[in-house]
Amino acid sequence: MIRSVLFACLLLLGAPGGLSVLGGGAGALAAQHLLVPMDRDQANHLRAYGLTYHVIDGGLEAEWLLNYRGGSFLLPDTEGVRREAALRGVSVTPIEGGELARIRARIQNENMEAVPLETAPRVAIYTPPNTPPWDDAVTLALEYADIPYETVWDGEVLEGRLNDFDWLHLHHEDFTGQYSKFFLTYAGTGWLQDEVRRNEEMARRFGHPDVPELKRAVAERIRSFVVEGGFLFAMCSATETLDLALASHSVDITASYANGRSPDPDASERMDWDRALAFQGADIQTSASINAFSDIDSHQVNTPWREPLGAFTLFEFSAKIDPIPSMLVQNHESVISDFYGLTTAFRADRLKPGATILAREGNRVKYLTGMAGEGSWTFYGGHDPEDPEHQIGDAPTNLDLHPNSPGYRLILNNILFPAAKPTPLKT
Amino acid sequence: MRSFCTPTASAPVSVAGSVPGSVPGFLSVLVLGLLLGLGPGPLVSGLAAQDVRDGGATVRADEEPFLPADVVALLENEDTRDRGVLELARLAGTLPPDLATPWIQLLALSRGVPGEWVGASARAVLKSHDGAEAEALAEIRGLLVRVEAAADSDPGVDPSGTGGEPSISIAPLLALAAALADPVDSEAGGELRDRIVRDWPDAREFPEAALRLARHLLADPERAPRGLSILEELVVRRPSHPVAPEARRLRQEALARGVTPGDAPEPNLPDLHE
Repeated sequence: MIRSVLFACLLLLGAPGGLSVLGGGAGALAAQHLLVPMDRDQANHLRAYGLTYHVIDGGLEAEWLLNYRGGSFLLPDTEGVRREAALRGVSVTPIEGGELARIRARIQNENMEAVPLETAPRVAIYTPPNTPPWDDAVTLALEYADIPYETVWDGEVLEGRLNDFDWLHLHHEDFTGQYSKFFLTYAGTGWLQDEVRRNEEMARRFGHPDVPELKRAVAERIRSFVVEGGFLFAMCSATETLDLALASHSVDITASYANGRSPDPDASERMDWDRALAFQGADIQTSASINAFSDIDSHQVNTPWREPLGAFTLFEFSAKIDPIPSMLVQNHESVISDFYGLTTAFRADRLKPGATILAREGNRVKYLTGMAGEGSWTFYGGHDPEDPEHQIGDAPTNLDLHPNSPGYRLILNNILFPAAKPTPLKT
Repeated sequence: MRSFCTPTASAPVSVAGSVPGSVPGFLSVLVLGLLLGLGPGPLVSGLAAQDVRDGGATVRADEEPFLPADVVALLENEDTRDRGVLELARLAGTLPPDLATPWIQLLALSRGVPGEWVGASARAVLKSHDGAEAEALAEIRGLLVRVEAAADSDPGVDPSGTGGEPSISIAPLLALAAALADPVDSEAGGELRDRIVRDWPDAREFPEAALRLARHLLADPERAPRGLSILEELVVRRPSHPVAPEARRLRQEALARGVTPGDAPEPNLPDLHE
């Protein structure tokens, strides 16, 4: 946080007309703007998001040039911005007035749009305490891009702290309260026992009879966060299980080891999909011996009927008519290799009609978004875009080896997306 | 490895008018050396001189490189220096990494500086190569003292890098001295690189010197802040240099350890077109 404030001061002091804190100035002359190309000329796509975030966090103006050279950013040309770009290894190009006019004319005439980025979103990651950061792609991406965030878990959510944030990412939590059905493989391991103990303590603290009830209450608070204007981004099993928890408010769908009761044999028929954000009509997997939650997931990675990975294709939207989905799919690649997660992708026939598909492979949807009340949600299947078969205990993905990862770019598109409009007021 | 002193009929050096590696060429010079009462050391130089007297030098790619002593002999003589530089390049490419560094630094030094620097530096490198590392460091330091003392009367040399537009940089000499200091006195190596960082920020030697100096300083908690500042100066000044990614990685590591930047020379705007 201190570094963030210092950076803001540095950017402001380095702004045209301001005092230079860098001294010298004998190097390149400042142009009016710096273009951050996001096509294949960019040396470090992921850190370009961090640079842009810090520019707007420092009170300077930035623009997102949708569909222009992979979704480039236009930043003010100050010594501070140049310095930060160099430190982060982000490619920038000085743009003079005439060239900028040509770019704007092209944006005007083609399927492109210039979106002002106004407010750096306050970011929260829902993650259990003591969880290593390398196990969550969003945490990895934010750390690598140097985008500040705070972590929250059940206690903070239930105490109303989500109101302090604009953007919430859900770690790969199991909101059905079944510990991702890890009992099948990891029963007796210390980390799973710790997780059970931690969750049961939290349930008792907030007066819930069991962990599934605790998680359902948390899911409801998260839903309220969205409806009241928040931005929700979920990956992996958090996508599917959040909706299962919301839709199962009056039916027991959990295996007996989670709450001591047998699940409702008619669980699938008794789900209330009106409460869910993205999905409907799914068959619930209530068997304790099958490591899947429902048939929403198209790949069923931990079952004998696992589907193989392919590649998903990003949709191209009209940047002027549909700027929101356009922002979410900005990329220098349009076809991206798929990657497994507990929930890898989603069956297209399980989506609600209001969902907007952002990327798909045949009838499998990888990436989708939608509105709920005043806010929006975006779901991205899979666990780690650069580790297609990530296993528990695997070494963390080193993003220094993947600075141009198109899969990770999709995560970071979501971070800047809320910056494209004024921060919504939440009560 | 081929030596002037070890004639081999199968690997001649292609020199117009003579084949010094061949038995007749070798014998004629050997005889000349004996006649002049030269010992083994001067004999090597005598061979080099013979080489030059026979005309210009070209090197065939399929030949074995010369021994270090022979390369130094070529470099010491103004008339054979060009050939010596070619042989130095070949030699540096054959040495294991732990031995190659001073020779590579010598190669960088060997063009565009006074011949005295090259010869004296080559002798120091050879001493280090032969295990007399402290002696080598003393010798190169002596050369640095002489160069700086002479700088007052030579407007072409600016030992500080801040006195206008000198035509001759001592940064390569400092870099070589630092390389020779490393095995003997890492602190001395750091001090020499510090001079490059402070006084020669535009020199070709700056990025590597800055990176190594920063590594040296980051290992010491008290000096780590300055190490971090030097890394930042490096990536801001040379954002596209090949060592910049490693500098960024080290910077991230240092930041993650809680190091904050300390005192360092203020950098200028980066050259975005580098």
